Amino acid sequence: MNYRTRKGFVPYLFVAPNTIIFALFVLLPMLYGLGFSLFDGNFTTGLGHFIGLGHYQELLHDSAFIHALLNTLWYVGAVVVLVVMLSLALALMVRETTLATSIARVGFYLPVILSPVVVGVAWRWMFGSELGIINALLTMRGGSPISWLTDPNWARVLVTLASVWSMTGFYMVLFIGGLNTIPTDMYEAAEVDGATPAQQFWKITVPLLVPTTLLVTILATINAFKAFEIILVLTSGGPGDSTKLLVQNIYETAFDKSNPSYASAQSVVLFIILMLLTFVQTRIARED
Amino acid sequence: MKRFAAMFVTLALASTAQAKTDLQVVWFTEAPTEQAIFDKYVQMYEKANPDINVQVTYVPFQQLTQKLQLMVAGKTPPDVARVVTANIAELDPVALNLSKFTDGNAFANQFLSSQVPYIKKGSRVIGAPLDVTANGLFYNKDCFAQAKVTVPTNPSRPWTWEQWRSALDKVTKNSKCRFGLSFDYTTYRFSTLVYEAGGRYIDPSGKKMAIDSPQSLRAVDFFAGLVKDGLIPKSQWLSGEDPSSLFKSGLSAMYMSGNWNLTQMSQIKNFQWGVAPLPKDKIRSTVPGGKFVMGFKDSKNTAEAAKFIQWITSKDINIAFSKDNMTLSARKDAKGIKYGTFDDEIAIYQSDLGITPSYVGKDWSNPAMAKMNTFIRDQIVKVLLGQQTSKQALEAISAEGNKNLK
Repeated sequence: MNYRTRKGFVPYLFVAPNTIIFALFVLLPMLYGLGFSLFDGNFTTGLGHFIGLGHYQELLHDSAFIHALLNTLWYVGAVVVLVVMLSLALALMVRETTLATSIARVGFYLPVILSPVVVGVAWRWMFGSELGIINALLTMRGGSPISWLTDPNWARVLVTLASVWSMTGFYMVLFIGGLNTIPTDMYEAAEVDGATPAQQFWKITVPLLVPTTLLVTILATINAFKAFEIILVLTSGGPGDSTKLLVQNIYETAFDKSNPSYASAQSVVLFIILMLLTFVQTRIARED
Repeated sequence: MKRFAAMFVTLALASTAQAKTDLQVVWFTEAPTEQAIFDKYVQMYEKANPDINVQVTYVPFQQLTQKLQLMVAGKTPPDVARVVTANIAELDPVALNLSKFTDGNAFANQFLSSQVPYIKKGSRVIGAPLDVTANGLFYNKDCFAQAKVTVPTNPSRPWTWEQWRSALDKVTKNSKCRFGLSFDYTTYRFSTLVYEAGGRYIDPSGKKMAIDSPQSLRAVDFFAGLVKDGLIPKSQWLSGEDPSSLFKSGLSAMYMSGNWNLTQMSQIKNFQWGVAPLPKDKIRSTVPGGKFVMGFKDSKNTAEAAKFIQWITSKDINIAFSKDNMTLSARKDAKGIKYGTFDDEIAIYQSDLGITPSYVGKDWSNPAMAKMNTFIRDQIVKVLLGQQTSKQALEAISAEGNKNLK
């Protein structure tokens, strides 16, 4: 092997471990899931019979799946908008490094390192209808308890807020990184020209933060689509199925209803939706 | 030479040690005490069978189904697993046929007739009942005494549904208990009402659903009424609030659960509690269920698995095991055994089990029902939320069930 060949081969060696792990633990199961969705098998029978797109046709009439999909779209929309706005606002507030902002950064980041199960349990203790602290305080002060988790609308709001609270700190850090890449002399020049802080924000900060905003939007969208643990602990998808998202529906279809091949078809649909959204978002960024 | 001899002896001993058979057991636990108790029996078994090394994987009950499903799908089933009724119905196609290792009929007939439909599939015997469970009502004696409401103690003279409802109403208004009834968020517990009202899920032919009936309608309406009037806290069925903690903290006057919770209830120190006979409507009934031990036909040690299953369900061992766990043995010859503690409470469960019609067990041993648990529960919740009527819920359950029965 001559030097040039060896040199050309080396980069592949560097990426080989990750590629092998990705292929073994992500790509192969994905392909298996795709194949499995075309059969009618379950855990005890294995693959079963080939039914082609039968499961996909069934999905079109499956009210539980459609309901979970609509819930997911609603949840993703609300979470992504709130997360982007709040994390940017927090980043702007703590972008300067002082003792106070450092402490604040730690405080805002703290929910990120908590396990989603802990977040769910903590919010449940606060907002539980019978044993929750907030309702106990309301009752002590002569008020009426609020059906936080037993009213579908309140439950949707709480699930969204708990998720936003648990992830905003992470995206705040990304925005701080983005803000630090904007040269300070641009703000100084704008100030000399008489630009107000609002004008500086809209004319300098926002345009130069587009790549970071796009990254945050893509990551938040993917994470929101995959939301599972917090909701499971906080509401179990209830009341009824008002906070049941696609991932929980997939889980229940596979394990509670013992129908893993049908659950695989739902996973494929979720994968296609995520791919499309990511594609659209990157196209928008490229055009910008 | 001596060195070679020593090496030879060491290798021989090592190979003997390796010759021990590793029996893989998946054992689910619901209470912290269960693991220590089963460990004791594992040691007893290993002592009696020095060639066997029992390797136990303990899993919480909530993870049992998923664990077994994945092990079976991955072609690495355990040798033995402790399962519940829904599991044994679902895992029937991969179950070890114990008839190959025992006299099938004689083996199955050692157990109570209510448990036989779960394990006997034609000529095959796919498991053995470890204990029998019954849904039942715990109650807070202090709250009922404070409200001056008498709870029946004679199982043959229980409350009617109307008397039960009125008692719950009185105890909520006149005692420190803020809620009348905690009710486990499960289809099994709800189904007690269906059977008491005279309804059933599957018709006698076993080929179509029979749930869409006036009797079942009465059961759904009665349950929805209890929730609507606040006698059952809404949060238990609408947001997954833990019913047992509400009862154990003394906030709820009654708790619809079952005999498997006796050991947990024995930890309560802040109030006196008891077990009330299940109220009757058209008939008296509970829902018999149970824990089973089963093997898997594709496991590595099928003969050893069958031997372990026979041992843990044999008379002396099973009765001792039941006493340790305060569970009801599923053996016919264990009838009338005294536990030393909670004998009065256990007698109430046994009375409810004794009067339960045989079709109840038949319903729940049908594999179609194993797939319906979540669906049925979801339909009842929709009624509680006002998203559909009781009649629509029963029609939906019936349609889904008929699909599964096909």
